[in-house]
Amino acid sequence: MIRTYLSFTICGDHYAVNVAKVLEVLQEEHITPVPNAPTYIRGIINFRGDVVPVFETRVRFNLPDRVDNESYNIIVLDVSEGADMFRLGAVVDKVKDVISIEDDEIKPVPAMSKEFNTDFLHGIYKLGNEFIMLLNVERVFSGTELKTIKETNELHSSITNS
Amino acid sequence: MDPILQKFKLVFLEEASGLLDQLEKDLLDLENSPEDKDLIESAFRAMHTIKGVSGMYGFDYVSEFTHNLESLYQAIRDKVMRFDKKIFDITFLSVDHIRKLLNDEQLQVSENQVNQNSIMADIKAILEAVPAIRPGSVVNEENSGSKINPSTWHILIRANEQIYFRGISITSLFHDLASLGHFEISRLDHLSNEGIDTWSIILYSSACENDIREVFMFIEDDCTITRLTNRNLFEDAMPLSMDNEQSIIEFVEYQERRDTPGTTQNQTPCEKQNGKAENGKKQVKRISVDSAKLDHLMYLVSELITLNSQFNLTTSDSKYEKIWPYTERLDNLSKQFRNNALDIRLVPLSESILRFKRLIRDLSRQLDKDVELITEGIDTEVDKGTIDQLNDPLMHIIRNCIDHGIELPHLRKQKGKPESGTIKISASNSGNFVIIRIEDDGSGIDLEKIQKKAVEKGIIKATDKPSRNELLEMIFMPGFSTAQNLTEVSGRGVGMDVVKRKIMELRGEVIVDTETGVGTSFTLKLQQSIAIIDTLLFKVQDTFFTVPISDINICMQIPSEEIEKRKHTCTIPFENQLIPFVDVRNQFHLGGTYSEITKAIILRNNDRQLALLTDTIIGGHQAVLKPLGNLFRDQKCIGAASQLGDGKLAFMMDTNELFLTAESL
Repeated sequence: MIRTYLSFTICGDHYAVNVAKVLEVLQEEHITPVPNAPTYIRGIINFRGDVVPVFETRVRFNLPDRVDNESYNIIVLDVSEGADMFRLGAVVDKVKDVISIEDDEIKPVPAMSKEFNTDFLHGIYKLGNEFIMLLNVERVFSGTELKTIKETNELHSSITNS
Repeated sequence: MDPILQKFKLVFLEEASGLLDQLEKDLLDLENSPEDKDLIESAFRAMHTIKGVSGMYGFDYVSEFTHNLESLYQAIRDKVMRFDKKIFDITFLSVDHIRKLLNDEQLQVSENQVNQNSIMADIKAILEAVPAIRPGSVVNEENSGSKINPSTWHILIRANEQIYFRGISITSLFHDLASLGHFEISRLDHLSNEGIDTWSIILYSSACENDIREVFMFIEDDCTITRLTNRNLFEDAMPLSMDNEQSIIEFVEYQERRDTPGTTQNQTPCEKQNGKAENGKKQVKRISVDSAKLDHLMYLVSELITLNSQFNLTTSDSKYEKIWPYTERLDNLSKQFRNNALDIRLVPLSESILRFKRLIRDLSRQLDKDVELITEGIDTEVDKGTIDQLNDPLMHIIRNCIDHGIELPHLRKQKGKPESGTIKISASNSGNFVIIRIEDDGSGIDLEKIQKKAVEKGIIKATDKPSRNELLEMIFMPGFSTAQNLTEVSGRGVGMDVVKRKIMELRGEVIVDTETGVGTSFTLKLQQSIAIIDTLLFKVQDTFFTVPISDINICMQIPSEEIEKRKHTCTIPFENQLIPFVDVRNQFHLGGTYSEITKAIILRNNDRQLALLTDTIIGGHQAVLKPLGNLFRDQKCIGAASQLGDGKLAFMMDTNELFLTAESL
């Protein structure tokens, strides 16, 4: 089966997410930082009338954090969390292209550096000379991972309160 | 299931639950005045309609059950039988049962199966005890109601397509009408337009008004029934332009004048009828709307307000001076739009009162107490969302009043109080707030007992001398209950703390006051609307915050050395006392320092005060609140955000949380 993906770059690497999850790509939208939030939450934006949290993918992927004047795009996604949908924004460096990929052409994820959580990927696709890492957004942004965020959040606030 | 049928079924369920509410209300009133004919009629009509309509939609069990109940009321209506406690009890049971049946149309829940049979058997038993009638036989309608002198009636029906959707057959109505007397119908073509049919009917009948109304009861709202005269108009030369209501009335008036010369001051019967209808219950025309549609409207309004402030910001430069008058008008219009949309969401508190009446009735019987409910100002309006959240806390407070407050009749007599206790629910508006008070005239809260209990529980030391207010506040603590015997009704150790929490979630407050032997009062102070509120916008470093204007006492300036001096106690002097401060910069780790003259916003909550330290106070801001969502659930002190003109978001301070934070510092 052929699926459509949206590709983008983070720190020079190519990634892609299934287009079905994507609602909109925002250019340099102002993100309001939330006080006391963990570092991988960049802040919140007003998207179609709702407050939507924005994640910093670089921090999620253990990459060097963004410098103030670096340009960025926000991909607004609907991620399923159990039976619920969870809407969020993901900050990426630059949105590239929409590509169609046949399921058969997706290669398994190889062993990678410990720094990078390979659970976040569901496969690799080779386009020309470029390897594109296909993200499993559910794993990147929801489920047990989100719980950790909450815990970290609590930890964070308990440290700062004491 | 056929989606259209499904849709009608939903409409039916909505209607049926409205009818059951009506029936319940009538019953509660009937208990006080069991001879009131109008009330009996109204109750009977509600049953009759439930029976008819439920049959139409295939709720056969409801229909069968209601038919039995109706026989009982037919007997009462015909004065074969009188109300007694047993009948009231069984009718209340029946109402509850029918409510359950509406969710269980196939009678699959075993509890409902048992009730269906047992209640029907009980009803039959009551009927069998009355010699005059046999169970299950609704007395022939033609025999009911007293015959009066024959009159000519005019009935105007304006039926929209809804009638057809509700499965009501107009033809069968006419069939029923024929049994009452001679009539002629004409369809008023000039008044019938798309989707609406209009008929004019002239009826000469000896039936009383109620019998005629009964025929039309399914379309009551779509028809007007007027008694024209006690002459037989069919015998007079009929005005042939019968399709014009006005001409008929004029004709009748002409006839009346001719018949009784010189008595023109006398009201015609037709006018009397109208007068009576107007003096009766004030009917507010209402439409019911899916609440999701209202939510969407609110969303659109909030987007408009946000866009409007963005627009104002962009055009504030004097080079746009030419369009200023327009922005001003736009501003004005969107404010009105906002107020209107908020207004639509408001519903009168009285819509919830019925369930309290029922609660009071059931509880007081259960506890052998005699309790009367008095209401005042219950047409005060509250946001629909708030009301839904308010029901549980209110029920709980009322339950407590009956259970712990109001004494048993013989004790009351000993104390020289009337044997019947009183619970008063009153509501009023105060600025942006709605105040709801629940008072009882019971024994009051025993403060000594609370103090003893608090010592037992280790909340205070035996040597402590808590103030009256501190003691009263303790009843809102989790697990605190002073009831001597824990009854089934209340006092399972959960309760008042939940009430308090719920009210605080609604950004409201609850105040309790009591006087031993005289009674207890609970005062709830609530925001009338919680979606859009007036706030003060301020800024610390680069982060914007808002606090509700209503929570602010005053804004002031404090030299930073004053703050530095008292940093270890987190207090500042204000009006001859020390009040705690919350250092927003520190609390939210925003970095930077305050300037030499620090701005402080003094917040007020009951008799407590608190200072918020800030950099810049910007000004008023209409905050369209958006929840931050689950991800930030653990974020104390800020729970919502609102958009500013330039697209940035400002965080809404939760003042209750701020006070808690200040106390724990």
